[in-house]
Amino acid sequence: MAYVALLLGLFTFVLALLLHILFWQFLRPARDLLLLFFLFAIAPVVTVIVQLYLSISYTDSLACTDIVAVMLCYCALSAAYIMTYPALSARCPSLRIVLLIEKGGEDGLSFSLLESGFDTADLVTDRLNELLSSGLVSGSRNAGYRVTWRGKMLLKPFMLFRRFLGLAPGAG
Amino acid sequence: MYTTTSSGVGGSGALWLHLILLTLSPVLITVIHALLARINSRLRPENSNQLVCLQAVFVTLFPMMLLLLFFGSLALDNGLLLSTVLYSVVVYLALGYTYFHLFNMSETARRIRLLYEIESGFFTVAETPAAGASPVQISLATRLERLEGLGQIERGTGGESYYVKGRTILLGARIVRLWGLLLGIDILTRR
Repeated sequence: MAYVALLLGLFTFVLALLLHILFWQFLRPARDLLLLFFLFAIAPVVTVIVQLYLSISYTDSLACTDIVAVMLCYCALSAAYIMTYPALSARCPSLRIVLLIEKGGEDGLSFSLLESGFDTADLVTDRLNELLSSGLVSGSRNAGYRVTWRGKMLLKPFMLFRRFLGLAPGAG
Repeated sequence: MYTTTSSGVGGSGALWLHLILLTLSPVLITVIHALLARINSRLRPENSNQLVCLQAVFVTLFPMMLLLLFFGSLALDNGLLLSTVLYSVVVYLALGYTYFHLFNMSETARRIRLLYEIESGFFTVAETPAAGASPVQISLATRLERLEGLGQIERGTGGESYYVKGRTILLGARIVRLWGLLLGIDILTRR
């Protein structure tokens, strides 16, 4: 495997990250995950242009396996980042817990003090509103909630995955 | 480039196999994970599910690297062995990290949990359910227990206060917070 596959894959990933930072500084849309997917989808276009330029300028052009290797590297790095992003946008409680306990210093942090740093909106209602706005759940507090077919399409693979691993549904 | 350097015994066929194998590595991780999760369920006390997932990623790394090196060495000149190893490790670890997060979503994501609860018909958004503990308390207790299981926090001698024990998740939390600030999101405040 030539270094070029790794370097071009990394270059494309860094390019996508730069686009991501630039957009988020000026415009962070409500449906941020959708825009994130879009940005990470358009970044390889630049790399393809660079590759085309290289193949025109130099006789030693990239082979088909090279291009696939570059895209595999880019997709793997992008997937890793995109999977991490929700922890950030949803203000992952576990990370906040660790940071709050650290702030407690040598005295530590009691459960009640920790609890004061969170509310129901943090842990339940914000997430429920996101499910409602993205059409994964329908209904209201009075009428009751229902998982839509889109919600079921998302939930079923997770349940099958857990069953394959021999595990009960996650505790959330 | 491959066209000029893939002069090994297997040529581009072995290169394709190398890339296909790397792409399919999450499937092998899933199989190993299923095996380790079943072994873990028979252990007392059980290890944390997240720890078992990480073990699966690292246990799979060794057979994967042997296979990848085999196909890589068939296809390439010796001079490219180091770059092949480096490329394979980076891609494998990125895919392994993605797998870990996918599993983590099924384990800890509140949205997936809510979907499951609504679908099963026992979801309540009440502030204080009949059991006595509020949703916030239940959610926090679950996470504290998980972090203790991972060895990242511990209780003091009195059992009332929590302290940071491990540094891995703390380091991750600091990095995520800094990265969030760069993007204009602070995970410690609502902005």
